[in-house]
Amino acid sequence: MLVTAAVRSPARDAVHALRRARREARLGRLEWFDVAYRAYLVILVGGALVLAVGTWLPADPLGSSAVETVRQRGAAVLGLVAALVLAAGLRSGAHGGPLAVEAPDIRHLLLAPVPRRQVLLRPCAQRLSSLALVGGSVAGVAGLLAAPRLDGPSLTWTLTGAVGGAVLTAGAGALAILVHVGRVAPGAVRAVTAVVVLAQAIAVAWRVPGPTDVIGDALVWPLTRHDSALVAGIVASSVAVALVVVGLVSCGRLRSEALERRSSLVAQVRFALAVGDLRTVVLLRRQLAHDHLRVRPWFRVPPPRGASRPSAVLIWRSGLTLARSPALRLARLVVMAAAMGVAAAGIVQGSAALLIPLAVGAFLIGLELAEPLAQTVDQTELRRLLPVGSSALLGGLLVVPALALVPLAAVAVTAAAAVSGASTAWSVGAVMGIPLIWAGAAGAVVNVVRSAPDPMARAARSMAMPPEVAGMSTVAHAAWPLIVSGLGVAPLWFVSDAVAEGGSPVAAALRGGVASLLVAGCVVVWLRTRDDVRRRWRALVVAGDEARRQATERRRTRSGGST
Amino acid sequence: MTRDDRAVALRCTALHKDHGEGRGLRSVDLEVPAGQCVAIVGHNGSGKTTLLRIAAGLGEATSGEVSVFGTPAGDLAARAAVAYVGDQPTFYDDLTLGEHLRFVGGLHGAEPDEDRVDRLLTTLGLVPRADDLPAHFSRGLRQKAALALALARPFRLLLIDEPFVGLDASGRQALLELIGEARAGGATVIMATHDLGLAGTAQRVVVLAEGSIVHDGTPDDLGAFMGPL
Repeated sequence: MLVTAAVRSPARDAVHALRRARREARLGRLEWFDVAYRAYLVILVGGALVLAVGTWLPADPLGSSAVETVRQRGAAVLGLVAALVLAAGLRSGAHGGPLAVEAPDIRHLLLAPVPRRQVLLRPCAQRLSSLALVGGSVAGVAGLLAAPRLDGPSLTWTLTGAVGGAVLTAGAGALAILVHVGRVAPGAVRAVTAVVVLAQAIAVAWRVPGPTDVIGDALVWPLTRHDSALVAGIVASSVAVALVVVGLVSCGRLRSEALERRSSLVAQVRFALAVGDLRTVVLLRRQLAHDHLRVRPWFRVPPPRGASRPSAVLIWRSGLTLARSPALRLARLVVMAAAMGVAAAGIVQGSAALLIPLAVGAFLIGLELAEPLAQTVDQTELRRLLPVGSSALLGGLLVVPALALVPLAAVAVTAAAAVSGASTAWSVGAVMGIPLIWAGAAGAVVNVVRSAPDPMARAARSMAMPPEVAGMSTVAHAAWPLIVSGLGVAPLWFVSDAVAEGGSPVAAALRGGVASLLVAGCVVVWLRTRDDVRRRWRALVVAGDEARRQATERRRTRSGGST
Repeated sequence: MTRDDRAVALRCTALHKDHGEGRGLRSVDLEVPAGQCVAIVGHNGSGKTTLLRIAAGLGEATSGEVSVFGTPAGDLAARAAVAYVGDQPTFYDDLTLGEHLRFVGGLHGAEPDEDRVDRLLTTLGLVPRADDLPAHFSRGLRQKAALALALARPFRLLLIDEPFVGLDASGRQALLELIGEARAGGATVIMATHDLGLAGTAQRVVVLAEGSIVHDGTPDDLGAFMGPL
């Protein structure tokens, strides 16, 4: 009788057989040309990135004072990087990471009478080794680039970087597993990571000892050659290896519920990334981080009284969304604004490369604050049913986000002034802070509006293109909003130029502010006219098709008549 | 574990699950004797799926205890005893239905019983689809395939979440037959459903509302308790 059949001891063979069969099937289906093409792309993009970073950095060996600065402060800065990597690992574990197991594995393997460690050990080991590979590669390349500038042996720097990076990222992955199986509350993890990262940031800024200096010390060992740094490196590596072993041993206690939730979300994030849909990535990332809107708003947003104009209703609706922002999101906005301020101070002092983090920061802040607009844009059908014109609707939803950017601009200016210490920083910030953050965030508005669901249009576009062109089109579609953000913050370079050439930074800031406002203005005009232009274009295309059809019809009639 | 423990297919003691904002389960106490057929009914969000997922070992209780034949839910022995059909059938993209059946049977150490599998596939109308990939099936066919996977392996407790969803009339009839067969074989069946007709086929009906049990009785009693539903 099936129901009372005896159950054998763990079906190890079945799991192995399944994995072997699936691996063989996967290899059988593999298009080797496709694999070679992907490898070629990775090498090409990776090589281009290394080359770009290499050309940004000064080509000649650094002077003795600069080397001394790296010797004294490098450990703290690299310690901050290590703190951020460890914080990422801890947070991942608190949110159900670091594994993203296939959904059927959870439903069939983890619910079967097979020891869970047997099922999860291999994915865990693969995850940790891939983390180690990525960390080791990135840090190894960093070491390779550092060697000629710091006048050290390339092999030592590269090996130190590769081993350090691999150990650090694998250790962070193992920490994620331990936090996951230990069911550590996300709030506790958040508090610990905030304290560690903040303490290390203070160590960098004020040259006091920090909690992760020891890792930074080990990473700059090729420069300092301190025995203590070598010992610290060996101890830190041993701890990381121990964490990895404990993590792998305890992987059987990873929680099915968290794994199931994460596997579904990660699969969606991968798909959204593949099609360049940043809006969906943001939404899914919020779900992964349990970043949900509050049911009760922070403050009361009174509805407009009586028969009000649509604009008043739109402002009320936007206010409600922002009043429901979770505390974590608000804190993230403040931290990002402060980071933008630090980057801006660096740009004014001549580091052009910092324009990229500045633009990305403004873009991300914009994505967070454009939520009311995004919520409306996401609901295409609902939006079309509203008795409000599209341009008025979208424009009205931007009023509150634009106002919310003002205090964040103040945070950025304060951070820039604190870091630079220059007396003119406040005046430059007062002139340029708000236009710059508006223009930077405008890229996010472009992204939100362009990623509105329009499946027919996108499918039709893709169908008409060869795959290579469709791929490039997807990349361009994803990159364009970031380029707009870049254009929005680029005028800060005017101030840097003025400082370098002894001109007036405030006058340059005025010119830069006007340029940034122009970028933001262009986006607003585009937003208000986009639907009209598209409607007219479509009408033009339809009229053209109709004229062509009629001409063909006439030709056919004439030729029919002549025969 | 005592003999009493083994005689109880599912025992929930002060089971509490917090999904936030007051959703989930609130101090649920439930005991299902071995061999009983129980229908759990309730509105959307009343906690039916949560209860079944925790019993299957997929979900975690915030507090309280859940045991299956005397062992904690989710433990190896409990997983061997439980067959779970969730509300979202899940399959490997690269395995056919037949391969799924062989694989899941192998995981549970079941000797290949071709006759049994053939009969299941025939009853569910899946014979022509045995060599197809379930990932490409329609909703109804996926539901049938999930049922076949759950029933083709040894089990003592069958948990089914919304079994009729996506099934056509013949599928529903087949499902009722298979549930009857499992019961006749001595299995305990717990099904979460909105369908009061299906609930009427059970020996016992448990009504959940806002995460708490508000009624526990026979299908005949249910008529008198339509208020909360």
